[in-house]
Amino acid sequence: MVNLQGIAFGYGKGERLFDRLDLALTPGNVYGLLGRNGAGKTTLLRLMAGLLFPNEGSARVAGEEVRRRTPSFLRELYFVPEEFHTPALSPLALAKLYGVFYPRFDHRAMLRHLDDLEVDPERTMTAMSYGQKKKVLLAFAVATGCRLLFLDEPTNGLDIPAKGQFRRLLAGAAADDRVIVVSTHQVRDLEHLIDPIVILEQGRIVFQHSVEEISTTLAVHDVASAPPGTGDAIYVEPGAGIGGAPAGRALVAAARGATADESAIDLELLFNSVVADHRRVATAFAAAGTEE
Amino acid sequence: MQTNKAFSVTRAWYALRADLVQHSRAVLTGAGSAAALVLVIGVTTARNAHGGALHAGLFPLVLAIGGVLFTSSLFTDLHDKPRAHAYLTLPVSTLERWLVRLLLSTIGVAAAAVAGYFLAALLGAGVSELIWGRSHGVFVPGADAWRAVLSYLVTSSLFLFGAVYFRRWHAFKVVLSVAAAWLALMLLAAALAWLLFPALFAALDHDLDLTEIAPHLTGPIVQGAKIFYWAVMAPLFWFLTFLRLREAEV
Repeated sequence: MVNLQGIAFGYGKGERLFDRLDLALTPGNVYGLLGRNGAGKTTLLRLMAGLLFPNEGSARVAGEEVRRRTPSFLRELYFVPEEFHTPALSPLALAKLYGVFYPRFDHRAMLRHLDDLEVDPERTMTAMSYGQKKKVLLAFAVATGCRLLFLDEPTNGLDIPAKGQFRRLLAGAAADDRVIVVSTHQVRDLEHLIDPIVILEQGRIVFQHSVEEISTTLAVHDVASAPPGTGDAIYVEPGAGIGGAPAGRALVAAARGATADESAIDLELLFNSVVADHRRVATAFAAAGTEE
Repeated sequence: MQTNKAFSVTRAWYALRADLVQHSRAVLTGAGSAAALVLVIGVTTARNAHGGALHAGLFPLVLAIGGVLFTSSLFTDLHDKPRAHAYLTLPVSTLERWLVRLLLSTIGVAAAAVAGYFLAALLGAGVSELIWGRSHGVFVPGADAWRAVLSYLVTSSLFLFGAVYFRRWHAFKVVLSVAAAWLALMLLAAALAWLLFPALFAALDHDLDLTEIAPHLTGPIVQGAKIFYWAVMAPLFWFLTFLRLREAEV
């Protein structure tokens, strides 16, 4: 559905942020787009939304060049940015005024989502907190019925109960014909929701695998208790090592024939491993026969 | 709703309605201020009223200042990242996006100015009659008023382009740019005159008059300027506005 090919992009005449970046996203997935600060997660989302134009390469959604910003493309896209503007309207008025642009907009679903997120549908948004406004936009995004949802750091500004409510909303929004891309650096908030995992590093997509592939290819062990026969550690992260805590954790190649249940993966450790040396991680996937 | 084509009346209407609602507070504040100004000036000067002389001078001024300020602020959302995000991902075509703002800056402003001024002048006349026993009368748009409207429609195209092109201080930068372009044109003309008629510069002790130097050029230059102003300028800057909007990024 989303196809980026040979994308090169840089702000102004400075250094290029992306160089020959390729990415393909297929419906039925909630992609977790991970990357360090400044890696270009937001820029990548904007390129996919036609809000920025690449210097080279093509960005297409369902065969359409996104930079043309055609209504047929835009009616299938809803993008909740990290920094957003909300008009001086109530959520109900927002739905009435802007829902008409989306042919599958569901007003009842909007009300239901607002109720689930504990937002007053009749309160003017300018009087709401950042977190409340974000909940309104997330509810609106899901109610549009768009096949392409881009959520940039959606859990930023949400309190602890709201994060749970958001996870339930997102789980309910996942559908076979929908591509959801969640850009985040707070992987723990969305650990059991995002699948596949896409990692952006040094201007390229250096990792793109489903959680099942990850779980059958890699395993996490405490450094002191790593069983023999699992091969050399791909990455070792020092632990606190106090009060009975392990001295560290190691990401290793999973034992042959391991199932996803046997080797649950810690996304934070995976991310740190990829960022430290993505080639070693890629080698493990190549050896297991699950390369991209 | 036809969603695959570049233009749909329904979509354009939805976009116009959303724009009107979004800008309603600013429009009402601006229009209210202009109306209050007309009312105050109308009432305070009514003692020395001479027919509709006040309206002949005040209406073009209100239209020009109000219209330029409004038009210059029309694309502020495009220059603010969070608002540009929402504006550029709204499911309408660039043509519809452009047309809505063009309608607001031209027909919208002109219609609102005529109707608003009429009401403010009517109210002012009523109050003046009560206080002074005389007034400037009601505002009936005549040939001069319509000519002012036409001039506004043409000139506003420049400010609409300034609104989409400049990030801030839109109207101010447009005026500065026009002044700079005018100065450059004058220098070019002077250089050409110096090259073509050097004898005139040899003993320069009076203002140069084009009608004296080259009487046969005066007519075509004035005619050309008129054609540019009335027929070329507005479509040119409207088109440039469309191109800039099409290439706008966040």
